[in-house]
Amino acid sequence: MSLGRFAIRLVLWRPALFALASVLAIGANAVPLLGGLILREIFDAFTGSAEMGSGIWGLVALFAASQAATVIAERSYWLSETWMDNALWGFVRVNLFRTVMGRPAAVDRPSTGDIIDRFSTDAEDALGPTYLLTRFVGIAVSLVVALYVMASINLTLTLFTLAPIAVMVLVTRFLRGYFHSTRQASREASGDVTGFVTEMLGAVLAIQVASTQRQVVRRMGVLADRRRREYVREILLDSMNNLLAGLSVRAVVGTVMLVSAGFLVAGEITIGDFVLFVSYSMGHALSTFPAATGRMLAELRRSRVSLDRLLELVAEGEEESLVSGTPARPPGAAQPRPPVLERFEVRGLSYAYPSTGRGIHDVDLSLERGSFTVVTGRIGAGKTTLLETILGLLPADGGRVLWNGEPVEPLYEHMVPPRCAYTPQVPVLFSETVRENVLLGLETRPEALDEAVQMAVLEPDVATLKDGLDTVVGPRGVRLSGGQVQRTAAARMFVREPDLLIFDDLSSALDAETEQQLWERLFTLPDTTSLVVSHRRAAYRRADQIVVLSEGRVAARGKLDELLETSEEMRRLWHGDL
Amino acid sequence: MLSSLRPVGVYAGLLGRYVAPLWARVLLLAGLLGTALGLQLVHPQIVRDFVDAAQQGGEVGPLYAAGALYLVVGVVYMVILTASRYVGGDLGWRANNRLRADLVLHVLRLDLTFHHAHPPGELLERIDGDVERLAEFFSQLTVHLLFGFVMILGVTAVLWVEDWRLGLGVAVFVAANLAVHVYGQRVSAPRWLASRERSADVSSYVGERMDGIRDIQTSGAGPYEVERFDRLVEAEIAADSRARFFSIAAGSVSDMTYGLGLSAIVGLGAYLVAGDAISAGTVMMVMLYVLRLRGDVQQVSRDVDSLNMASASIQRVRDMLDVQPSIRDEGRSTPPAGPLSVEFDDVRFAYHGDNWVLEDVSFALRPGRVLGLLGRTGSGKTTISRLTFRLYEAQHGAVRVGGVPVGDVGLDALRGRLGMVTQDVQLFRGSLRDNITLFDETVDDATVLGALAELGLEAWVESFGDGLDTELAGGGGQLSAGEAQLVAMARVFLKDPDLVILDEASSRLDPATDAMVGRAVWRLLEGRTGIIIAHRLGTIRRVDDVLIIDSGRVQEHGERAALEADGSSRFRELLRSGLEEVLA
Repeated sequence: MSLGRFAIRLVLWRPALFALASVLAIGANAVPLLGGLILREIFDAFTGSAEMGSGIWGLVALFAASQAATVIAERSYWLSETWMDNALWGFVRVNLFRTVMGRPAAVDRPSTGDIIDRFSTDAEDALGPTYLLTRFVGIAVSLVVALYVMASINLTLTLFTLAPIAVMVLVTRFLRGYFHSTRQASREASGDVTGFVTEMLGAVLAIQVASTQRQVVRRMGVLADRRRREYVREILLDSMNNLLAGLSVRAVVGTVMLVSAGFLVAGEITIGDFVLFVSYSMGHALSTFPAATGRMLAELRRSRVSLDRLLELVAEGEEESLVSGTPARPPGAAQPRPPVLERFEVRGLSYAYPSTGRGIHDVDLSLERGSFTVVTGRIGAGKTTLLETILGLLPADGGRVLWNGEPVEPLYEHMVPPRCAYTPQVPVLFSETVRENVLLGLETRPEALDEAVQMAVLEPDVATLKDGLDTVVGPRGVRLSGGQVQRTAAARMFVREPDLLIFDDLSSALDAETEQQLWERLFTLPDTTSLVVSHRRAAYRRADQIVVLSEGRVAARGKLDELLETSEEMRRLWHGDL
Repeated sequence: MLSSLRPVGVYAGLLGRYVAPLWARVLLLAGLLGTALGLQLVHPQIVRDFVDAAQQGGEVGPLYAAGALYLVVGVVYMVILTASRYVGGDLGWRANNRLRADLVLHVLRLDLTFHHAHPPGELLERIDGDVERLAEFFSQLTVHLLFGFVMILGVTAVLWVEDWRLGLGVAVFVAANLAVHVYGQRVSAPRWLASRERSADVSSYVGERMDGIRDIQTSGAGPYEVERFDRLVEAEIAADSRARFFSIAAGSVSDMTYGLGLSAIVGLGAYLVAGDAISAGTVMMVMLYVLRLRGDVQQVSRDVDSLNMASASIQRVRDMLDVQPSIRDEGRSTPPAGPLSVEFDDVRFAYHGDNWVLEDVSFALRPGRVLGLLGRTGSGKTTISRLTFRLYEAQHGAVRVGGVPVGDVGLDALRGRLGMVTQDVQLFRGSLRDNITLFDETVDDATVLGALAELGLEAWVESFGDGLDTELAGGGGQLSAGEAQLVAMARVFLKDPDLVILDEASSRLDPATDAMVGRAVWRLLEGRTGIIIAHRLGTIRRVDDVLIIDSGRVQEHGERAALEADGSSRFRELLRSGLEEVLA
């Protein structure tokens, strides 16, 4: 999406705000011109071109009034700009969050720290064009007014003052291309530092255990030094703009002095006229024009980079969702209950990780209602990848998923409760209560939560927590063990009462007894179809079918007894434990 | 304003520590700004001469000379100013990076209790947000503040010499302006603080939800989370709007003061011109000075404001630097060389309050022996390993390693002798090598590959196109949980510790890989003391001793062989039920 289109869509979302800001921008730039006109009269009175009587005090009072009017005009514009800016900032971020939440979750994305950075800084910087446009309108209008006033005093002098401005405009244009790369490089360098620091803070246990704090800090120093170079380069380029602004003010005033010298001596213009020229040259309209446009162009470059960084988080073809008030597609919204599952099939499903080429290839599965299917295989065989592809967390390269023979499309939209639910291998809890972590906003029967907690064998743990289900857990709350986290996630799955349960190695952090209880409770559920990654013998024995994966392909499938006879890989998995 | 300059000791401390070593750059910056200041004082004088000459009429020559001089001085000034920005920015970021390094080092040394109370998102706001705000403090604030004051004094002095009434008028103007400015910023500062807090809420929400996006999507909770995010953003925007409104309102008061002050100066000028005390050119000059002073007053009060903001940041950074680890690193003793014994003596421990996770735990593990630690999830097994590492400290009782209480050994010295594979392996964006060596650049590739070979993982490493140079995505990305544990194993192998703790090391490995790693683990355990925490009996078939822990208490402890032989032991009972799982 182009920056222009992005901006236009934003403006159209709240046209009244934009119109208000534009009108006030004109006032903010034009009202200050009054002061120059009054000063001209005052100085003419000083130098005797006009009468220096009691009228001078009226002029001084008028000057004071013009100053007050300027303040009011400027500040009311800033208020309206703040209003518009914040409305758009919130709009874009909520849209971004919604869009990111709706994308296949397991796709490669920047580190969490980097994403946080994009949500704050980049979402703000990308808005540049909207408020820059209002400013530009204001400056342009007041420039025309100023030139008209000046030209009506002395056309030649006016034309001469434009010469240095023209030069500055050209120079500024030269600098344009420069800004794009620098801004991008410094944003990236900054993202590297924040990303690194976030990850190190997340890995603090590993670092402390290994006692490598100093090495970590040294590495951060390398990244931080790169960021310093990029930032300072950016400061320099920003200063270039200030330099041009300052130079053009001084060049214009200097030119006014040189050119007006002859006119002053010849008496063609008065000292008051000269003061007006200097005031307009230094003030808002004239010489700030190239600097202001230069700065705007630089900010536009910045906005372009930031918009690109936002779009990186959004799938191709879904750029519109950043600016559309009504989302094209709600993220993984709970669907109306689909037809009861009779048969679940996977046909030729493939996914390869772009970075390594590993993944799953051409996998077929068929699950009957009420059956228990175990997926197994060695490390790296593609078990988790298979589940994540089925769930639409990874975008399948090929193949289909059928629900009672009907194709399910797209997966991430339909493979959600109440059709199916999932417990990942390493679930994540949020800094909320246990209740909130299980429900995640689900509205359900009051007893459903207790049932789910019971199903997940979580009730003994809840009983030991200080505030029971209302205990805050997660990163900012009470620390739960790996098994407790897993069972909380299992409760999250059960409470949604799905037709199809998908577990990724649910029992990996559970002890044998707890695991036993969990399986037993699971099998009391009638008609629930399960798809489970597991290495446990208890799971193998209960399985209606075992699917053995090897290097991303189905190596064998069947019941345990058959597989132990026919499959070398299954025998190895079965006996490996011994 | 003075009150905000009061904690001078704190500022001086920071400046001394992080800026003083960069003194050459500081001097250069001072020189540049001093020159710029002088040129600024001269500039309006040239305009006055021009106007006065024009008023007198006659010769056009002096007018041309004044115009040319004005141009030259203006250009030189701008170039010097630009150079000073560059030097200042560089200075600030250098000092800043030094501070950040110190802070990160400190935070990484703080114990886990601290890290649980302060998640990464929040710490990042300190380490990067607050420290970044200090960049300006280091580079410009102090220098600019100083030069701003000198400029104000200089202009006042020049005008005083011109006519004392002008000097006095300008002095009053500056004082009023400064007071209004500073007051305005005082009013809006707490609003900005509130606004930043809301921003931190949003950031930490985004961070947690990005980490848990799989859980959210597969639970169909996306719309719910979007709605919550919407509410948080709304709260942030409300806070931000309030802060901006106050800033704008306060700014309008100070602008008004300026506008009326300027009008008063013009009026004063008119009075003096009428009395033939000064020329029209002088009025012009005074106006230019006042215009200039406005910039300086704004700059000074902005600097004072930034100093306020920086002082909030400085305070937070200092608070963080002042956090003493509850685990004090004061030990000087060294445990004996060779395999280390482990003793727990009447140990009681709780993560929070009196919610005891371990109660009266006592056991001893002799050097070179391997202990199998068993118990249900949440029974306290992991806690035992953490206490051994002194990641936490027992509230009661003693933990001894090699016969020395862990508190009497330096932390690095202690942890240098210990190796651990945790339940959740922490991986990060970076090469496979970095993930294994944890950035220790003194470890060469041969050593890393040697450790991997020891684990039987050469083929696995080669399966990545780039071997050790393979870049892993954030959080370990494409590695499965099992593979992540292999990386953790390699970390321990590299360390060559005297005591190895394997916490659930094989829980996520498929049996075939598990067996492979298991063999290597036993090779590693040769000649070392080991503690293996396992849920599965298969893993502890070869241990020397067994410790069964239940709800934080030792339920059974003894030699494995003896417990296995004892028909009434809990271990025997577990073996039976476990063997059932293995054989049936």
